Amino acid sequence: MYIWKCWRDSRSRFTLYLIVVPATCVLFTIIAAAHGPFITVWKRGPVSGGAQLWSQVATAILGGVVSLIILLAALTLAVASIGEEYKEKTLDFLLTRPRRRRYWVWTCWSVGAGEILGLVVAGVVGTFGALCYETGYVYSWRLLVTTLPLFAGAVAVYSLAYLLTVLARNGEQGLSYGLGILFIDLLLPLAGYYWHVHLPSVMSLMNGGCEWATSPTLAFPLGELVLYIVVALAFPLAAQLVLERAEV
Amino acid sequence: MNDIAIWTEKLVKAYSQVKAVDELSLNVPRGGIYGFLGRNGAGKTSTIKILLGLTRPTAGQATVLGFHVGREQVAILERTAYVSENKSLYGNLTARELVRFTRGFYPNWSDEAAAKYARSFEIPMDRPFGKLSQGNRTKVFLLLALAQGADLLVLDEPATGLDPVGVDEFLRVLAQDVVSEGRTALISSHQLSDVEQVADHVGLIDHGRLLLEARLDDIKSQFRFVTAAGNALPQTKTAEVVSVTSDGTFCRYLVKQNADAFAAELRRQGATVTDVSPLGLREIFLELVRKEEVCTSGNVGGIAAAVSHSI
Repeated sequence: MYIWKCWRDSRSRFTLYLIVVPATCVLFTIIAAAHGPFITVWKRGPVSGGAQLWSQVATAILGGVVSLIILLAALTLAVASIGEEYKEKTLDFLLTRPRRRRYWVWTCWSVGAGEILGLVVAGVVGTFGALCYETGYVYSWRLLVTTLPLFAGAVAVYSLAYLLTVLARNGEQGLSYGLGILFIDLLLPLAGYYWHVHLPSVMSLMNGGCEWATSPTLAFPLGELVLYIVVALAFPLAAQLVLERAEV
Repeated sequence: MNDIAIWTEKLVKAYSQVKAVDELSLNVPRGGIYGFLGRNGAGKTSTIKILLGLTRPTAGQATVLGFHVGREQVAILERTAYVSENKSLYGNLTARELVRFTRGFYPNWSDEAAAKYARSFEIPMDRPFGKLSQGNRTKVFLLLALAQGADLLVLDEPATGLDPVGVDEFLRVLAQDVVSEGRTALISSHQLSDVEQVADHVGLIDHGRLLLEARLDDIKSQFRFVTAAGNALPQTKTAEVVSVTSDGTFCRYLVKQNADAFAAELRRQGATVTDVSPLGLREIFLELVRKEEVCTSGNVGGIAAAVSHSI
């Protein structure tokens, strides 16, 4: 029941993003196919030709533009889920249904996480589908693994916005705080670049995972991936603890 | 304990220095309608929120249908229907969708009852909740509560926004469907006339404290105003005299039982008893609440203790 209600609340935004994400992927892929050499300047390291080149182009698209769109989608989906309960002042109605409070937290979170997974898969499939169509190459299975870091990064941001919404008891404030933290996260790679330190950041995880897919010499960012998955699960757990102690 | 639907003992809810609920001890019997009465801000909603687990008590303990509040909250919620004071629901869902959403939580949900109440309350089931009038929103809440098949209905200001026809229909449903099926309803309200029509028991609360808890029939049959004139009339409360109002040589006594004997005693003391009249719930409520404004808290507790045995 509550799954249906959460889906109903978020489905319009999800549908919008489900159109925007693959459309962006396809658009950038077509542009890249037409102006490939320009795209390759985004990439570090050696670039070979053929399928390898285009794989790098695709992962650059996924790790850059698409990641950013998915992160923004993750923030707004968090607001569309638990934030609606605060906006509509329906928490007392909800919490007097015979379920433990953790049920509401995790059900609502799961719907959003599922939608984010859908967006990531749509982005990856859209990008490589368009690339296959444009170039005629068949690409390695490793490219599909880019789904993992993209999802882990996006769901961590989603979970953070989810927790912030529960803490603020307000979806719009949760979104504002989430955007602020995302902005700082985007600046972290710059700080790392100038001060030569490695600071964990969502964008670097998403980029790193995508780079691994096309560079066999790079190590898969497993540690970072696990860290972000743990973080992504810790935030709704914290939201559960907050809601279990909340007075309505 | 089995014949008690709601039991609280010295329940306290404090917000910083303010006590919204102050050592409240309630006994709501099963199988009837209990009017939980008080002014705005008297502590009714705070008490209900504690019972339903929406807020935690500062002190004291409570059970609902024999289940411990706080420890067995899901068991309580499975058997309790709640209409909140705040009649907010998902604005983009229609009443029909709200029924579909709610029914899955309750094994005793009755689609027949939902359809029946939708018809009798004349609810536009396919209009989004956010576009309904205040009265129709209240009706949707009532439908969702009544169709749950709950053992206990907790209704916080259930008649908000209802027109007289809607109130009448709601009271008829309460009297016919709820009571006849042996269910219990606690109605929190300050609409005394509505409650007086259907309630079996009443509890009067003010400043978080229980002023009176009694059977409504006992109140109607035994409570009397005794007005007397004379010199040196007694000014103190006793086990029978709940309150005394003095105005020069006139005194008005609120007597909870044996009013005729009390009047005879006044006559024996040389007073002229000018009137012995029965009271409605409204008069008792006003008398007790006004007294509460000038009483110390100790006196108020005394009234509740003195009267509570009549339940």
